[in-house]
Amino acid sequence: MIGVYLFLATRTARNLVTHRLKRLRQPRYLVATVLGALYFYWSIFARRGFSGGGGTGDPWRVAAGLAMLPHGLLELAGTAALFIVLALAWVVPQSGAALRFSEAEVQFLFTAPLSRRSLIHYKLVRSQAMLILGALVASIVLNGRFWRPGSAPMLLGIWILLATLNLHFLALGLTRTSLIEHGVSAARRRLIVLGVLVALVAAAAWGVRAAFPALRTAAVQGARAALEETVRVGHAGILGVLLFPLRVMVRPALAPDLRAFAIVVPGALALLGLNYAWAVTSQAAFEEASAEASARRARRMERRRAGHGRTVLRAGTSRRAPFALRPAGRPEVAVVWKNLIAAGRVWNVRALVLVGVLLVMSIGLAGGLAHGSGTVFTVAAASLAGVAVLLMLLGATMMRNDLRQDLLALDALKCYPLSGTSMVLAEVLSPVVMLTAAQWLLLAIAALLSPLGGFRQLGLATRLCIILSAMVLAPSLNFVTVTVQNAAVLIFPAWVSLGQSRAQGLEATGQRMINFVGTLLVLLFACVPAALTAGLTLLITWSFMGTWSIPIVALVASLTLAAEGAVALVGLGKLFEKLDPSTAGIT
Amino acid sequence: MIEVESLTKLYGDLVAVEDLSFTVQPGEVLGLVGPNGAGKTTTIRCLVGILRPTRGGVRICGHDLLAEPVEAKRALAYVPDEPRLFEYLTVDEHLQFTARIYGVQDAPARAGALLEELELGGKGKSLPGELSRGMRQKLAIACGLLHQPGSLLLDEPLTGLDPVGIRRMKRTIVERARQGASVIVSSHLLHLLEEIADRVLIIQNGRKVAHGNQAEIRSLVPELADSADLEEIFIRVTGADDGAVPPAGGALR
Repeated sequence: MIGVYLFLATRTARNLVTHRLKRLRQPRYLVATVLGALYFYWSIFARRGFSGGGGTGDPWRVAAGLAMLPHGLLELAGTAALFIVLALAWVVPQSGAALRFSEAEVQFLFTAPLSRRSLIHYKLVRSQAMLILGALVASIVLNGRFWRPGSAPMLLGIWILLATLNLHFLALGLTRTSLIEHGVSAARRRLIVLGVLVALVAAAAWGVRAAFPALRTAAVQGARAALEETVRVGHAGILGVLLFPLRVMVRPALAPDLRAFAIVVPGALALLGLNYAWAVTSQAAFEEASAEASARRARRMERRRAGHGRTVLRAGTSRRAPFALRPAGRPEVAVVWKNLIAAGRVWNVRALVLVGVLLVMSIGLAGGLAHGSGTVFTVAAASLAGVAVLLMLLGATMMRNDLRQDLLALDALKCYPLSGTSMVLAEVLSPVVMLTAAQWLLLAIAALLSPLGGFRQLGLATRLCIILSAMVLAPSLNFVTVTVQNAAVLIFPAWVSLGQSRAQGLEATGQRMINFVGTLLVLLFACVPAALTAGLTLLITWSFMGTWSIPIVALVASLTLAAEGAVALVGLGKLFEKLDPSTAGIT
Repeated sequence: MIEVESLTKLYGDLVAVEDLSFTVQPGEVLGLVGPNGAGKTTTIRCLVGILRPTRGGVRICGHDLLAEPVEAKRALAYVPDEPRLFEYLTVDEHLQFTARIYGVQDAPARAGALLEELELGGKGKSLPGELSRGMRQKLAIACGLLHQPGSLLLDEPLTGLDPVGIRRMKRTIVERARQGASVIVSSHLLHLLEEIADRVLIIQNGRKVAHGNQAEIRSLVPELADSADLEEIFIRVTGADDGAVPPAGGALR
């Protein structure tokens, strides 16, 4: 039967890779994949942080530093980390089913003449790919390079450690399921586990307490002596006995050479076998819980595929529409109306705004308390304006009630009697409206607070001019940034993160890089004509309008940005019309 | 009227639909049938503007779908086999949205009548997530019928409906045709098509195998004479019973 499971696992992996490779026939995906691959190469292999070349915050340097620790201390640190992981797993067990199956697995395997033990074997086989990958990545990180003498024992040691943990968690979940079946309450289970844990920790503390004078003496002698004494305490007495099984698990992964590995691996394999025996001899009837869990997961996935968020809409969540939609008028308004409703039902917009305002006010209050009451309003006004500016830059990635949400309903969108440009405009407008409303609200409150604090010195005219200018610029900047996000959706439909789901894979990483860099570049390019027209306007108006020319300049810049966005919309409209759902790779 | 001229759709090297031509007159119901993978859904998706035909043309109520897509789409409605609804819009809001998209002036009155006709009365404030599969299908159909389209395309419209719903749906389709709409119904339920379709188009491997009214379709297999039902004819014409190769290019029209 293992052969059948291996067949399923290998064919699934092969077909997944083939599917991804076939997509590379489209140049845009190929380019992004190459970029993604280069990124991974650069971040894993090309950076020589291990040999001392990395910066101070370089994670590779941290890993290299870890690898340079004395072996005993490294073993103790690994053992301690393992203790925390296991303690958490026992005290706060994962809720839900012990074994997770997909709907297809439930349909095919649960109805097949397979024993419960056979199903457990199936899950163990399926989990191996991730365990091997995890072991490979961990060994690369600890080694500092893809391969070197000694990599094989380390790779094998890490795999044994991960496989043992995997079996332990599985056995733990099955035991939990069995206890539930036998009517043992959660509180009782937790009480027993906590009792055992407290006893273990108390015993460990007793051991440390006995060794405390020696530790103190070592600390006086210097850091090196203190570390050596810590390692000794961890390996001796009660603490040594308590941590022994965990050390046995960790040792093969840290073995410096093949000989050392051969000495320590039998113990680790014995623990692996014990956990395997515990898992497969479990009498827990996990099928029902697994089937229910898979159905729930499938419903969640279906919702995400349908372009909706994690929030499940239930009865009573149909709050009022933002405005009454008349049957007559421009059809684009209907799409905006629909997307505003979507945002209102998935997000509690009013609550978000309220929380945001309260948060900023709190910051202001804290600033005021720290530096005197006079600065409360200054800090609050500056914070509110700062959040408004931040929304101009990042808001487009947060507000996704546009094509990023609706592209999975592409069939429906393409049937509507709207031109491509109208449809893209309608989709883009909703986040623009919401972002602009939020920014105007923040800026208006900032304007009201500004005369009460340090900004009073600027004078009413200057303050008004600055706020007005920001308000005039906000919609156009939002329009450009949201359009860029929607352009990415139309150019890379297979990689778009629809709803709450996130695209994965090498090419998706490349796409995110392209998206990020592209957004910045487009913004920069868009700002060039706007800056030119604004500069020209400033030259003309400053001499006779003074400060009041600033809002005029902002208006000209805003109109220029809007015109650029409009040109982009026409192009995107054509792209939308040509978008073929059958080849776009939208899933 | 729906006019299809030499419609061809390729997916790379794969021919999904090849040189398909037919016309659906106002007041006519065309039954579109074919084995799985024959190209029915691809044909319909080309007819409603979701997919761009590789070659050939489609005219909806006199408007070329490629040259005048907005005008053509204003005259058609498409109800897919799996209802595509907006999870966050209520039943009423779906109808309001559709009304505005298609510019339906007397939408409230029409929507009310449609909801009653499709047994959705009292469900106006419900979200799609609160509706059964059948009700969701009915809502999709209500949205499709709201603007009284001149061309109506339905893909497996009876999926998920209960017996009463099925009867009402058949009546609704026939009534829309009587009012002058050109209707295409794609379905594997051949007895449904026998009941409501004026003409039947059988396609296989993307090509027309047979096209005509029911008497003409029956005459394709003379040895079965008048006794054969559409199912028997379909099996013989598509060679599904003995693996025989069907006549290339279609036997009729």
